[in-house]
Amino acid sequence: MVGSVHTIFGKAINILVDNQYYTLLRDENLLSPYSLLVKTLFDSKVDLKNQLVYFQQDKVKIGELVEIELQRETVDMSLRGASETETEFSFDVRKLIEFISVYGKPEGLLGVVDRTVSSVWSDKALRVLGDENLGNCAGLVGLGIGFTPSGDDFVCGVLLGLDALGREDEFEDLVSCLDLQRTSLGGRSLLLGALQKEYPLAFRDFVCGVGKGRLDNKIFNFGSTSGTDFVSGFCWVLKKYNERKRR
Amino acid sequence: MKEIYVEKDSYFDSVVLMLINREVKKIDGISEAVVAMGTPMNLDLLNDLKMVNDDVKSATPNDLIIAIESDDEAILAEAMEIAKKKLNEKGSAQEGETYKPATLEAAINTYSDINMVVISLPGAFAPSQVRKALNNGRHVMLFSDNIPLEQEISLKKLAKEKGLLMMGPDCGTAIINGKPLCFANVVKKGPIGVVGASGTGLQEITCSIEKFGSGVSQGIGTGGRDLKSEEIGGTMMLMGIEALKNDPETKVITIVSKPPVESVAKKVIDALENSGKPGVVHFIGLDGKDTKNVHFAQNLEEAAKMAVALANNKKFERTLFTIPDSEVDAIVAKETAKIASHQKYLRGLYTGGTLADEAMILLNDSLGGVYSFDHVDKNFILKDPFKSTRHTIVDLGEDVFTNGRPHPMIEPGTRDDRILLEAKDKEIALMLMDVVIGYGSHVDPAGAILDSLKVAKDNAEKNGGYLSIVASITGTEGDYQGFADQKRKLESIGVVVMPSNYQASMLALKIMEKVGK
Repeated sequence: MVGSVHTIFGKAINILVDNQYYTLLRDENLLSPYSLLVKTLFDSKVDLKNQLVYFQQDKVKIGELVEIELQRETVDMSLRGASETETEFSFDVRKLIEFISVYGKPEGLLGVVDRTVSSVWSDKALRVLGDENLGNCAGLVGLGIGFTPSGDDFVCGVLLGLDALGREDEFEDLVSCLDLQRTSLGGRSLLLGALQKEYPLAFRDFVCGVGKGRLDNKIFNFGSTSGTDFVSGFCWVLKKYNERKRR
Repeated sequence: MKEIYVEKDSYFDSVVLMLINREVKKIDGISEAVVAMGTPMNLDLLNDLKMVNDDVKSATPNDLIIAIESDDEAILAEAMEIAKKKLNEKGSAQEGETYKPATLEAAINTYSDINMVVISLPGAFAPSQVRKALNNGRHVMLFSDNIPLEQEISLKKLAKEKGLLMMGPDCGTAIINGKPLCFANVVKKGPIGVVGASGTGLQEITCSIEKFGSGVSQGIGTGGRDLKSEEIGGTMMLMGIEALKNDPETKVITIVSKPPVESVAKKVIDALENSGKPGVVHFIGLDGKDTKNVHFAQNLEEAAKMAVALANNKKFERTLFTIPDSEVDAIVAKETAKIASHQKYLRGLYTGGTLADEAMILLNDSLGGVYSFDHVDKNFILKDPFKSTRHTIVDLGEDVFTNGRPHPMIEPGTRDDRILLEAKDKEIALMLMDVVIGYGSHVDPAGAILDSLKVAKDNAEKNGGYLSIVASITGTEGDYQGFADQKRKLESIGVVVMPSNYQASMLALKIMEKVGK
C-alpha cells in the first residue's frame, strides 16, 4: 500500500492513502479508528510533508530515509472490546453535566449542554439541533475547528451514547443521515470508525468509566476541544434518552 | 467591516487554530473572529455571520479560512496580520522564503562558520544527528528527550574525545557567547560562568546574577541526568567546568543541579576546587560544607548572590529577603488581614519544574506536608493530579498536564484553567506561582493569566475572604516581554511580586504561618 504524508502534528503523522486518512501515533491513549500505533515518531519540526509512504508488514517507510516500526496492527476499539464492559449502563446525566461544566473547554460545543457558555460554534449548533430531533445532529458534521471538527466529535459522542444504551434503531437512523463528504479528512476517519461502532479508545474508555460511576477528566486532554465536544454529544444524547424515559 | 483570508489546501493542528482564534479575539475592537477549515457547515456559519466572499464560497474542507470583523479598519488589518503571523510561526517552511537547509549536512556546507548545532528531534532519531554534528566538529545542544541512557553515555564519550560540548539530552536552556538558546533570558555579559543540569534553575540563577548587578560569561546546560547517573559521571558538567576554567572572561564558576549521586558530586566538587577559580554549588535540596574555593548555596537566588559577591571580592551575607523586613511585615499584615477562618491552604501553580521543586522543598516541612504529583513521600502524592488537596504544589509542565497541549511556559492556558479550578475552592488562602519570561516563553505570560487571577480573587471576596497571590518573575528587563511590564500587570490586580522564587516562597510561608491564627 502506498500513500503520502499529508500533515504532521505534534503527536501524529497523517498519511493519505486513496483519499483515506491513516494516522501514525505513538501514544496509545490517542488511538482511534484508522490510526496505527508506532514505536517512535517524528515531531512537527521534521519536514516530511508530501513524502511517499510505503506500508509494509510490520513497518511504515517514509521517503528514503525513515522507517517506523508498527507496534501492533489491530486493536478492538468497540465497546465490546473494552476491558470493563458493562451489560447495563446507568448514567447520572446531571452529574455528568456538572462535570463537563467544570472541566470542559469552552471554545467548541460545550455551550450545547452548558448554556452558561457561549461560542459562535455552540450557538450555531443549537440552531441546527433546533427541536432536538436526533437526526438534526447529523447537521453538525463538519462544524467547528480542528483536525476533527467539533461537530464530528459531538456526533461521535451521540453515536457512542446510543451504542452504550443499546438503542440500535436510533443508531442506524442517525448513521443513515450522516454525510461524511461534509467534513474534513480527519473528521471522516473518526466518523467512519464510529458508524462501524469503533471509537477512539479515550472516548470509549471514558464511557465505560462513566458506566461504572467514574468520571475521568483526562478525556479533556484529548485534542484541543475534541474531548469536550465528544462528552457534550454524549451528555446531549443521554439527557434526551432520560427525558424520553420520563415521558 | 470584515476581512477574510483563505489559504488553499492548508491543514493546521486544532491547538494552533484555537490559539490563533483566542489571540485574535482578545484584541480590543474585534467583534468576531472565526478561524476554521472550509467544511460546508463552517461555510454555513460564516454565511450566518455574513463573513463570505468569493474565496469562501469556493473553499473546501481542506482550505483554511480566517474571517475577522471590526468597526476599525486599522485594528482589522492588525488582527489579520497577527493571525497570519501566528500561522506562519507554527507552520512548516513556506514557499518563497530564503533557502532553509533540510539536512544537517546541507546546513554545515551552507554555513561553514557554524560552531554549534541545536538538535530537537524525537529521541529515537536524534543520536545519529548528534554524532554527525560531533564528527563534523560542532558543539551540540540536544533539546530532545527520550534518549536512552546508553546513547547519552556514548554521545558524551564521543564529545569528550573530540573536545566538544554535548549539552543535553533534554537541555532546554543555554547562553553561549551572549546568545540565549531555546528557553533563556537576555542577560548582560559578565564574569560569572554557570553550568546547570536544570533548565529553569539556570534561568533563575542567570537572571538573579543580572539583578545583583553582574553578568554571565557563559551558561552551559548539561542535561538533567549528567550528575544523576554514575555511568555518565557528570561528563558534561566536568567539561563545562573545564571550559570555564580556561575561559579568561570567567572569574567565578557556579553550578546547579538536582541532587547528584555521591561519587559524581565528589568528582564535580573536586574539579571545581581544582579549577583555581572561586566556585559556587547549589544542589537543589542538599547542603554541603564550604571548602577553600567552593561555597554551597542554599537556594537558586543565593547561588547567584554568592557568585556576584565572589566576582566583586566582597563578603557574602546571607539574608532571607532583599527588601527591608519592615516592608515584608507590612505585606504580610496586609495580605493576612482579610483572609477568613475557612481559608487554610496554599496552592502552588508552577510552569518551571525546578522552581516548583524549590518551593516544594522550602515549604514542605514547615507546612506539615505539601501534596504534589511526584512527592518523595508517597503519602503526599496527589491521587488525581488535576485536583489539589490541602497544601498542593504542581508543576504544570509535567507530561500529565501537557498531553495534547503546549507547555504552559509557551501557552499559559493550561495554568489559566487550573487557576479557575482552584478559584472554586473556598478553603484556598494563598496562590504561589512563577512567571517565566524570555526566549521560548509566551509573549505575555502575566497578561494571559490576569483575568483568571482576578476571578480567583473575586471569588474569595464573594465568599467573605481574601485570596493572597504571591508570584516571582524569572526574567530580565532585556527580555522581549519586559520584566517591569510583566510586574506592573501582576501588581495591577493585587498580586505580590517578590524578587525571586525563593523570596516568594518564604513570603508565602510567612503568610501561611499567620493564616488561621
